[in-house]
Amino acid sequence: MKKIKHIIDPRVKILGVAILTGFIVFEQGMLQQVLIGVLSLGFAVYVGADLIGILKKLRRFLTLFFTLVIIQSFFRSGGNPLITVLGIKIVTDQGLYMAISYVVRMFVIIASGAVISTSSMRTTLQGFSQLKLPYVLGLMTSIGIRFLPILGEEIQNAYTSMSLRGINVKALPIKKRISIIGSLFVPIVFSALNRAQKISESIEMRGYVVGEKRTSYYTLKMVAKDYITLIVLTGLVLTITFI
Amino acid sequence: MSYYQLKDVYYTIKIKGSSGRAIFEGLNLKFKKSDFITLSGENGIGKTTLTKMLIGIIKPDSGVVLLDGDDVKLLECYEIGKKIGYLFQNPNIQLFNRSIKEELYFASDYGVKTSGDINQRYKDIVELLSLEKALNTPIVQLSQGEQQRVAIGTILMNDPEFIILDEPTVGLDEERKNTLKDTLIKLNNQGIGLLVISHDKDFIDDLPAKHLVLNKGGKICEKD
Repeated sequence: MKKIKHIIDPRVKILGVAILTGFIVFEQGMLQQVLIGVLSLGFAVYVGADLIGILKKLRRFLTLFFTLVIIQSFFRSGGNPLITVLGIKIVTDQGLYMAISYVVRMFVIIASGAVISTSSMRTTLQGFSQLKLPYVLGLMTSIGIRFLPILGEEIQNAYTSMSLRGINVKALPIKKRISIIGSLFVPIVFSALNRAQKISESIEMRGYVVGEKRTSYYTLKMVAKDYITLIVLTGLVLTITFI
Repeated sequence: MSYYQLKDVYYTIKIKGSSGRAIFEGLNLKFKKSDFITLSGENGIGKTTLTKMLIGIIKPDSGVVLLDGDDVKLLECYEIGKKIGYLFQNPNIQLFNRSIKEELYFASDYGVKTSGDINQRYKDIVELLSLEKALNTPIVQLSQGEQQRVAIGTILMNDPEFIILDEPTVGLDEERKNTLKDTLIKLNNQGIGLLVISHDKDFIDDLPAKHLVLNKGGKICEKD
Protein backbone atom coordinates (compact mmCIF):
# COMPACT_ATOMS: atom_id res chain seq x y z
CA MET A 1 0.00 0.00 0.00
CA LYS A 2 2.86 2.37 0.86
CA LYS A 3 4.32 1.95 -2.63
CA ILE A 4 1.06 3.04 -4.28
CA LYS A 5 0.81 6.19 -2.16
CA HIS A 6 4.13 7.44 -3.47
CA ILE A 7 3.49 6.46 -7.08
CA ILE A 8 0.19 8.27 -7.66
CA ASP A 9 0.80 11.75 -9.01
CA PRO A 10 -0.44 14.54 -6.70
CA ARG A 11 -2.34 16.05 -9.65
CA VAL A 12 -4.47 12.88 -9.85
CA LYS A 13 -5.25 13.28 -6.16
CA ILE A 14 -6.10 16.97 -6.55
CA LEU A 15 -8.34 16.36 -9.57
CA GLY A 16 -9.91 13.27 -7.98
CA VAL A 17 -10.70 15.18 -4.81
CA ALA A 18 -12.08 18.12 -6.84
CA ILE A 19 -14.41 15.77 -8.75
CA LEU A 20 -15.61 13.98 -5.62
CA THR A 21 -16.15 17.09 -3.49
CA GLY A 22 -17.69 19.02 -6.41
CA PHE A 23 -20.13 16.18 -7.01
CA ILE A 24 -21.09 15.85 -3.34
CA VAL A 25 -21.84 19.58 -3.08
CA PHE A 26 -24.21 19.69 -6.07
CA GLU A 27 -25.74 16.20 -5.98
CA GLN A 28 -29.06 16.03 -4.14
CA GLY A 29 -29.93 12.33 -4.59
CA MET A 30 -29.51 10.24 -1.45
CA LEU A 31 -28.32 7.08 -3.28
CA GLN A 32 -25.81 9.06 -5.34
CA GLN A 33 -24.45 10.79 -2.25
CA VAL A 34 -23.96 7.50 -0.43
CA LEU A 35 -22.28 5.95 -3.49
CA ILE A 36 -19.92 8.90 -3.81
CA GLY A 37 -19.11 8.43 -0.10
CA VAL A 38 -18.18 4.80 -0.82
CA LEU A 39 -16.14 5.87 -3.85
CA SER A 40 -14.26 8.43 -1.70
CA LEU A 41 -13.48 5.67 0.78
CA GLY A 42 -12.20 3.47 -2.06
CA PHE A 43 -10.05 6.27 -3.48
CA ALA A 44 -8.55 7.04 -0.04
CA VAL A 45 -7.70 3.36 0.48
CA TYR A 46 -6.26 3.11 -3.07
CA VAL A 47 -3.82 5.99 -2.55
CA GLY A 48 -2.82 4.58 0.85
CA ALA A 49 -4.39 7.26 3.07
CA ASP A 50 -4.43 6.63 6.82
CA LEU A 51 -8.17 7.27 7.06
CA ILE A 52 -8.60 5.42 10.35
CA GLY A 53 -5.77 7.40 11.93
CA ILE A 54 -7.33 10.68 10.79
CA LEU A 55 -10.80 9.66 12.02
CA LYS A 56 -9.26 8.70 15.38
CA LYS A 57 -7.58 12.09 15.64
CA LEU A 58 -10.85 13.79 14.81
CA ARG A 59 -13.01 11.72 17.16
CA ARG A 60 -13.75 14.61 19.51
CA PHE A 61 -14.66 16.91 16.66
CA LEU A 62 -16.78 14.15 15.13
CA THR A 63 -18.67 13.67 18.42
CA LEU A 64 -19.45 17.38 18.38
CA PHE A 65 -20.40 17.21 14.70
CA PHE A 66 -22.73 14.24 15.19
CA THR A 67 -24.36 15.97 18.18
CA LEU A 68 -25.03 19.06 16.08
CA VAL A 69 -26.35 16.95 13.18
CA ILE A 70 -28.76 15.09 15.49
CA ILE A 71 -29.95 18.36 17.06
CA GLN A 72 -30.44 19.96 13.63
CA SER A 73 -32.37 16.98 12.33
CA PHE A 74 -34.71 17.32 15.34
CA PHE A 75 -35.48 20.93 14.47
CA ARG A 76 -36.36 20.18 10.83
CA SER A 77 -40.16 20.32 10.83
CA GLY A 78 -40.83 19.72 7.09
CA GLY A 79 -41.59 16.27 5.66
CA ASN A 80 -43.42 13.21 6.94
CA PRO A 81 -43.05 12.46 10.62
CA LEU A 82 -41.12 9.31 11.52
CA ILE A 83 -41.21 9.77 15.31
CA THR A 84 -43.97 11.76 17.00
CA VAL A 85 -44.33 12.42 20.73
CA LEU A 86 -47.60 13.90 22.03
CA GLY A 87 -48.44 15.15 18.54
CA ILE A 88 -45.08 16.92 18.13
CA LYS A 89 -42.92 15.87 15.17
CA ILE A 90 -39.54 14.85 16.63
CA VAL A 91 -37.90 13.31 13.56
CA THR A 92 -39.17 13.72 10.00
CA ASP A 93 -38.00 11.96 6.84
CA GLN A 94 -36.56 15.29 5.61
CA GLY A 95 -34.69 15.74 8.91
CA LEU A 96 -33.26 12.23 8.66
CA TYR A 97 -32.29 12.75 5.00
CA MET A 98 -30.56 16.01 5.92
CA ALA A 99 -28.65 14.31 8.74
CA ILE A 100 -27.44 11.47 6.46
CA SER A 101 -26.52 14.00 3.77
CA TYR A 102 -24.43 16.05 6.25
CA VAL A 103 -22.64 12.94 7.51
CA VAL A 104 -21.82 11.71 3.98
CA ARG A 105 -20.62 15.17 2.92
CA MET A 106 -18.41 15.47 5.99
CA PHE A 107 -17.00 12.00 5.32
CA VAL A 108 -16.14 12.95 1.71
CA ILE A 109 -14.37 16.08 2.96
CA ILE A 110 -12.37 14.08 5.54
CA ALA A 111 -11.50 11.38 2.96
CA SER A 112 -10.42 14.11 0.52
CA GLY A 113 -8.17 15.64 3.18
CA ALA A 114 -6.72 12.18 3.84
CA VAL A 115 -6.03 11.67 0.11
CA ILE A 116 -4.24 15.03 -0.23
CA SER A 117 -2.22 14.38 2.95
CA THR A 118 -0.58 11.31 1.36
CA SER A 119 1.58 13.63 -0.77
CA SER A 120 4.15 15.96 0.75
CA MET A 121 3.33 19.65 0.90
CA ARG A 122 6.06 20.30 -1.66
CA THR A 123 4.69 17.90 -4.30
CA THR A 124 1.08 18.98 -3.64
CA LEU A 125 2.01 22.61 -4.29
CA GLN A 126 3.89 21.55 -7.40
CA GLY A 127 0.75 19.73 -8.52
CA PHE A 128 -1.34 22.88 -8.08
CA SER A 129 1.25 24.88 -9.95
CA GLN A 130 1.42 22.48 -12.95
CA LEU A 131 -2.39 22.32 -13.09
CA LYS A 132 -2.31 26.13 -13.42
CA LEU A 133 -4.37 26.39 -10.25
CA PRO A 134 -3.61 29.02 -7.59
CA TYR A 135 -1.00 27.28 -5.42
CA VAL A 136 -2.27 29.28 -2.44
CA LEU A 137 -5.24 26.88 -2.40
CA GLY A 138 -2.84 23.97 -2.03
CA LEU A 139 -0.85 25.77 0.64
CA MET A 140 -3.98 26.49 2.67
CA THR A 141 -5.22 22.90 2.32
CA SER A 142 -1.87 21.38 3.30
CA ILE A 143 -1.41 23.66 6.31
CA GLY A 144 -5.00 23.06 7.36
CA ILE A 145 -4.57 19.28 7.27
CA ARG A 146 -1.32 19.37 9.22
CA PHE A 147 -2.91 21.47 11.96
CA LEU A 148 -5.89 19.16 12.45
CA PRO A 149 -4.23 17.19 15.30
CA ILE A 150 -3.50 20.46 17.13
CA LEU A 151 -7.11 21.53 16.65
CA GLY A 152 -8.20 18.20 18.13
CA GLU A 153 -5.92 18.72 21.13
CA GLU A 154 -7.30 22.23 21.67
CA ILE A 155 -10.88 20.97 21.58
CA GLN A 156 -9.88 18.41 24.20
CA ASN A 157 -8.14 21.02 26.37
CA ALA A 158 -11.11 23.43 26.16
CA TYR A 159 -13.56 20.65 27.04
CA THR A 160 -11.32 19.48 29.89
CA SER A 161 -10.97 22.99 31.29
CA MET A 162 -14.75 23.31 31.17
CA SER A 163 -15.19 20.03 33.05
CA LEU A 164 -12.47 21.01 35.53
CA ARG A 165 -14.70 23.90 36.57
CA GLY A 166 -16.90 21.21 38.03
CA ILE A 167 -19.43 21.27 35.18
CA ASN A 168 -20.92 17.86 34.43
CA VAL A 169 -21.78 18.50 30.78
CA LYS A 170 -23.43 15.10 30.32
CA ALA A 171 -25.89 15.77 33.16
CA LEU A 172 -27.04 19.17 31.87
CA PRO A 173 -30.52 19.59 30.38
CA ILE A 174 -30.42 19.53 26.58
CA LYS A 175 -30.94 23.32 26.21
CA LYS A 176 -28.00 24.11 28.51
CA ARG A 177 -25.88 21.44 26.85
CA ILE A 178 -26.39 23.05 23.43
CA SER A 179 -25.52 26.43 24.91
CA ILE A 180 -22.33 25.13 26.57
CA ILE A 181 -21.19 23.40 23.36
CA GLY A 182 -21.62 26.78 21.64
CA SER A 183 -19.36 28.35 24.30
CA LEU A 184 -16.72 25.72 23.55
CA PHE A 185 -16.23 27.22 20.09
CA VAL A 186 -15.21 30.64 21.47
CA PRO A 187 -11.65 29.73 22.58
CA ILE A 188 -11.17 27.31 19.68
CA VAL A 189 -12.08 29.85 16.98
CA PHE A 190 -10.07 32.54 18.78
CA SER A 191 -7.05 30.28 18.96
CA ALA A 192 -7.42 29.16 15.31
CA LEU A 193 -7.52 32.80 14.15
CA ASN A 194 -4.46 33.60 16.26
CA ARG A 195 -2.58 30.66 14.77
CA ALA A 196 -3.59 31.61 11.22
CA GLN A 197 -2.21 35.09 11.79
CA LYS A 198 1.07 33.75 13.19
CA ILE A 199 1.50 31.31 10.29
CA SER A 200 0.86 34.00 7.69
CA GLU A 201 3.36 36.32 9.41
CA SER A 202 6.01 33.59 9.59
CA ILE A 203 5.48 32.65 5.92
CA GLU A 204 5.84 36.30 4.88
CA MET A 205 9.00 36.58 6.98
CA ARG A 206 10.46 33.79 4.87
CA GLY A 207 9.92 35.84 1.73
CA TYR A 208 6.74 34.13 0.57
CA VAL A 209 4.62 36.58 -1.40
CA VAL A 210 1.09 35.49 -2.31
CA GLY A 211 0.43 35.62 -6.05
CA GLU A 212 4.10 36.10 -6.99
CA LYS A 213 5.30 33.99 -9.92
CA ARG A 214 7.38 31.05 -8.70
CA THR A 215 9.81 28.77 -10.45
CA SER A 216 10.69 25.23 -9.47
CA TYR A 217 13.48 22.71 -9.86
CA TYR A 218 11.04 19.80 -9.81
CA THR A 219 8.59 18.72 -12.48
CA LEU A 220 5.92 16.10 -11.94
CA LYS A 221 5.39 13.54 -14.70
CA MET A 222 2.17 11.56 -15.08
CA VAL A 223 2.51 7.87 -16.05
CA ALA A 224 -0.04 5.41 -17.46
CA LYS A 225 -1.22 4.38 -13.98
CA ASP A 226 -2.10 8.00 -13.17
CA TYR A 227 -4.13 8.45 -16.37
CA ILE A 228 -5.96 5.15 -15.78
CA THR A 229 -6.77 6.10 -12.18
CA LEU A 230 -8.18 9.44 -13.28
CA ILE A 231 -10.22 7.96 -16.14
CA VAL A 232 -11.65 5.18 -13.96
CA LEU A 233 -12.55 7.62 -11.17
CA THR A 234 -14.21 10.07 -13.58
CA GLY A 235 -16.05 7.18 -15.24
CA LEU A 236 -17.35 5.90 -11.92
CA VAL A 237 -18.53 9.38 -10.89
CA LEU A 238 -20.35 9.85 -14.22
CA THR A 239 -21.93 6.40 -13.89
CA ILE A 240 -23.18 7.29 -10.40
CA THR A 241 -24.62 10.56 -11.77
CA PHE A 242 -26.72 8.70 -14.35
CA ILE A 243 -28.01 5.97 -11.99
CA MET B 1 -2.03 11.25 54.72
CA SER B 2 -0.92 12.41 51.28
CA TYR B 3 -3.33 14.45 49.22
CA TYR B 4 -1.85 13.47 45.88
CA GLN B 5 0.14 10.30 45.47
CA LEU B 6 1.70 8.69 42.41
CA LYS B 7 2.70 5.08 43.04
CA ASP B 8 5.01 3.16 40.70
CA VAL B 9 3.79 5.01 37.63
CA TYR B 10 4.98 3.78 34.25
CA TYR B 11 4.12 5.62 31.06
CA THR B 12 5.44 5.31 27.52
CA ILE B 13 4.54 7.60 24.63
CA LYS B 14 3.51 5.47 21.69
CA ILE B 15 5.40 6.26 18.49
CA LYS B 16 4.41 4.65 15.20
CA GLY B 17 6.98 2.15 13.97
CA SER B 18 8.98 2.03 17.22
CA SER B 19 8.65 0.70 20.74
CA GLY B 20 7.85 4.22 21.97
CA ARG B 21 9.57 6.59 24.38
CA ALA B 22 9.52 5.77 28.07
CA ILE B 23 8.60 8.89 30.06
CA PHE B 24 8.06 7.45 33.53
CA GLU B 25 9.66 4.24 34.79
CA GLY B 26 8.45 3.77 38.32
CA LEU B 27 7.63 7.36 39.27
CA ASN B 28 6.75 7.88 42.94
CA LEU B 29 5.63 11.24 44.28
CA LYS B 30 3.56 12.58 47.18
CA PHE B 31 2.04 15.99 47.90
CA LYS B 32 0.27 17.19 51.01
CA LYS B 33 -2.89 19.30 50.76
CA SER B 34 -1.31 22.67 51.45
CA ASP B 35 2.09 22.00 49.86
CA PHE B 36 3.71 24.64 47.69
CA ILE B 37 5.79 22.84 45.11
CA THR B 38 7.64 23.83 41.97
CA LEU B 39 8.63 21.32 39.34
CA SER B 40 11.23 21.98 36.69
CA GLY B 41 13.09 19.83 34.19
CA GLU B 42 14.35 19.69 30.63
CA ASN B 43 12.08 20.04 27.60
CA GLY B 44 10.17 16.84 26.81
CA ILE B 45 11.05 15.22 30.14
CA GLY B 46 7.34 14.76 31.01
CA LYS B 47 6.33 17.75 33.15
CA THR B 48 3.09 18.46 31.29
CA THR B 49 2.44 14.71 30.99
CA LEU B 50 2.70 14.49 34.77
CA THR B 51 0.22 17.33 35.32
CA LYS B 52 -2.21 15.82 32.82
CA MET B 53 -1.90 12.54 34.70
CA LEU B 54 -2.80 14.34 37.92
CA ILE B 55 -6.11 15.47 36.42
CA GLY B 56 -6.84 12.17 34.71
CA ILE B 57 -6.47 13.25 31.04
CA ILE B 58 -3.52 10.89 30.61
CA LYS B 59 -3.74 7.46 32.20
CA PRO B 60 -0.59 5.65 33.35
CA ASP B 61 0.30 2.36 31.64
CA SER B 62 0.66 0.90 35.13
CA GLY B 63 0.68 2.24 38.67
CA VAL B 64 -1.88 4.53 40.28
CA VAL B 65 -2.51 8.22 40.82
CA LEU B 66 -4.46 8.85 44.02
CA LEU B 67 -6.25 12.09 44.80
CA ASP B 68 -7.29 12.33 48.43
CA GLY B 69 -7.30 8.52 48.51
CA ASP B 70 -9.35 8.07 45.31
CA ASP B 71 -7.93 6.59 42.10
CA VAL B 72 -7.97 9.46 39.57
CA LYS B 73 -8.63 6.92 36.80
CA LEU B 74 -12.04 6.20 38.31
CA LEU B 75 -13.04 9.86 38.74
CA GLU B 76 -14.85 11.95 36.15
CA CYS B 77 -13.11 15.17 35.12
CA TYR B 78 -15.82 17.35 36.73
CA GLU B 79 -15.36 15.48 40.04
CA ILE B 80 -11.64 16.21 39.95
CA GLY B 81 -12.47 19.83 39.08
CA LYS B 82 -14.40 20.23 42.32
CA LYS B 83 -11.11 19.84 44.21
CA ILE B 84 -8.40 20.74 41.72
CA GLY B 85 -7.82 23.83 39.59
CA TYR B 86 -5.68 23.64 36.46
CA LEU B 87 -4.14 26.59 34.67
CA PHE B 88 -3.28 25.67 31.07
CA GLN B 89 -0.13 26.96 29.37
CA ASN B 90 -2.33 28.93 26.99
CA PRO B 91 -4.95 30.60 29.25
CA ASN B 92 -7.27 31.70 26.44
CA ILE B 93 -8.17 28.06 25.77
CA GLN B 94 -10.03 28.06 29.09
CA LEU B 95 -11.98 31.31 28.64
CA PHE B 96 -15.41 30.98 27.04
CA ASN B 97 -17.19 34.27 27.55
CA ARG B 98 -17.16 37.89 26.47
CA SER B 99 -16.79 39.59 29.85
CA ILE B 100 -14.87 38.83 33.04
CA LYS B 101 -18.08 38.76 35.08
CA GLU B 102 -19.74 36.20 32.76
CA GLU B 103 -16.52 34.17 32.83
CA LEU B 104 -16.30 34.05 36.62
CA TYR B 105 -19.99 33.14 36.98
CA PHE B 106 -19.80 30.59 34.14
CA ALA B 107 -19.61 27.45 36.31
CA SER B 108 -22.35 28.61 38.70
CA ASP B 109 -24.57 29.40 35.68
CA TYR B 110 -24.28 25.72 34.83
CA GLY B 111 -25.25 24.52 38.28
CA VAL B 112 -21.89 24.20 40.05
CA LYS B 113 -22.36 24.99 43.73
CA THR B 114 -19.64 26.23 46.06
CA SER B 115 -19.68 27.07 49.73
CA GLY B 116 -20.36 30.64 50.87
CA ASP B 117 -21.85 33.64 49.11
CA ILE B 118 -20.88 33.55 45.43
CA ASN B 119 -21.28 37.31 44.94
CA GLN B 120 -18.89 37.99 47.81
CA ARG B 121 -16.46 35.45 46.38
CA TYR B 122 -16.63 37.22 43.00
CA LYS B 123 -15.81 40.58 44.63
CA ASP B 124 -12.94 39.07 46.65
CA ILE B 125 -11.41 37.40 43.59
CA VAL B 126 -11.65 40.54 41.45
CA GLU B 127 -9.86 42.41 44.24
CA LEU B 128 -7.26 39.69 44.88
CA LEU B 129 -6.35 39.51 41.19
CA SER B 130 -6.55 43.29 40.63
CA LEU B 131 -9.08 42.92 37.84
CA GLU B 132 -11.25 45.95 38.74
CA LYS B 133 -9.97 48.14 35.90
CA ALA B 134 -10.38 45.38 33.33
CA LEU B 135 -13.99 44.52 34.18
CA ASN B 136 -15.50 46.46 31.26
CA THR B 137 -13.00 45.25 28.66
CA PRO B 138 -13.93 42.25 26.47
CA ILE B 139 -11.76 39.25 27.40
CA VAL B 140 -10.31 38.91 23.88
CA GLN B 141 -8.91 42.44 24.19
CA LEU B 142 -7.15 41.78 27.50
CA SER B 143 -3.39 41.30 27.65
CA GLN B 144 -2.03 37.78 28.16
CA GLY B 145 -1.26 38.58 31.81
CA GLU B 146 -4.81 39.79 32.40
CA GLN B 147 -6.28 36.77 30.60
CA GLN B 148 -4.16 34.57 32.81
CA ARG B 149 -5.45 36.30 35.95
CA VAL B 150 -9.02 35.82 34.70
CA ALA B 151 -8.26 32.11 34.17
CA ILE B 152 -6.90 31.91 37.75
CA GLY B 153 -10.07 33.73 38.87
CA THR B 154 -12.28 31.08 37.24
CA ILE B 155 -10.34 28.43 39.15
CA LEU B 156 -10.69 30.30 42.46
CA MET B 157 -14.45 30.71 41.97
CA ASN B 158 -14.65 26.92 42.44
CA ASP B 159 -12.93 27.14 45.83
CA PRO B 160 -10.21 24.59 44.94
CA GLU B 161 -8.07 22.72 47.45
CA PHE B 162 -5.09 22.44 45.11
CA ILE B 163 -4.07 24.31 41.94
CA ILE B 164 -1.76 23.08 39.18
CA LEU B 165 -0.17 25.79 37.04
CA ASP B 166 1.50 24.73 33.79
CA GLU B 167 4.18 27.26 32.71
CA PRO B 168 2.34 30.26 34.19
CA THR B 169 5.05 32.82 33.34
CA VAL B 170 5.02 32.34 29.55
CA GLY B 171 4.44 35.73 27.90
CA LEU B 172 4.58 37.70 31.17
CA ASP B 173 6.88 40.64 31.80
CA GLU B 174 8.83 41.05 35.07
CA GLU B 175 6.13 43.17 36.70
CA ARG B 176 3.39 40.63 35.89
CA LYS B 177 5.62 37.81 37.10
CA ASN B 178 6.00 39.61 40.44
CA THR B 179 2.22 40.10 40.64
CA LEU B 180 1.72 36.40 39.90
CA LYS B 181 4.30 35.45 42.53
CA ASP B 182 2.52 37.58 45.17
CA THR B 183 -0.85 36.05 44.19
CA LEU B 184 0.52 32.51 44.53
CA ILE B 185 1.99 33.27 47.95
CA LYS B 186 -1.35 34.75 49.10
CA LEU B 187 -3.24 31.69 47.84
CA ASN B 188 -0.88 29.30 49.62
CA ASN B 189 -1.23 31.33 52.82
CA GLN B 190 -4.98 30.74 52.51
CA GLY B 191 -4.26 26.99 52.62
CA ILE B 192 -4.50 26.24 48.90
CA GLY B 193 -1.89 23.74 47.70
CA LEU B 194 0.08 24.70 44.58
CA LEU B 195 2.11 22.84 42.00
CA VAL B 196 3.93 25.21 39.65
CA ILE B 197 5.51 23.71 36.53
CA SER B 198 7.99 26.11 35.04
CA HIS B 199 11.20 26.57 33.11
CA ASP B 200 11.59 30.04 34.52
CA LYS B 201 14.44 29.49 36.97
CA ASP B 202 14.41 33.02 38.40
CA PHE B 203 10.66 32.90 38.97
CA ILE B 204 10.57 29.54 40.75
CA ASP B 205 13.70 30.20 42.79
CA ASP B 206 11.95 33.24 44.28
CA LEU B 207 8.94 31.24 45.43
CA PRO B 208 8.85 30.03 49.05
CA ALA B 209 8.26 26.48 47.85
CA LYS B 210 9.75 23.01 47.79
CA HIS B 211 11.68 22.84 44.50
CA LEU B 212 11.60 19.52 42.66
CA VAL B 213 13.39 18.56 39.46
CA LEU B 214 12.05 15.91 37.10
CA ASN B 215 14.75 13.82 35.49
CA LYS B 216 14.82 11.16 32.77
CA GLY B 217 12.56 8.20 33.44
CA GLY B 218 10.52 10.15 35.99
CA LYS B 219 13.20 10.28 38.67
CA ILE B 220 12.53 13.20 40.97
CA CYS B 221 15.07 14.97 43.11
CA GLU B 222 14.76 17.89 45.46
CA LYS B 223 16.74 21.02 44.61
CA ASP B 224 18.94 22.47 47.32
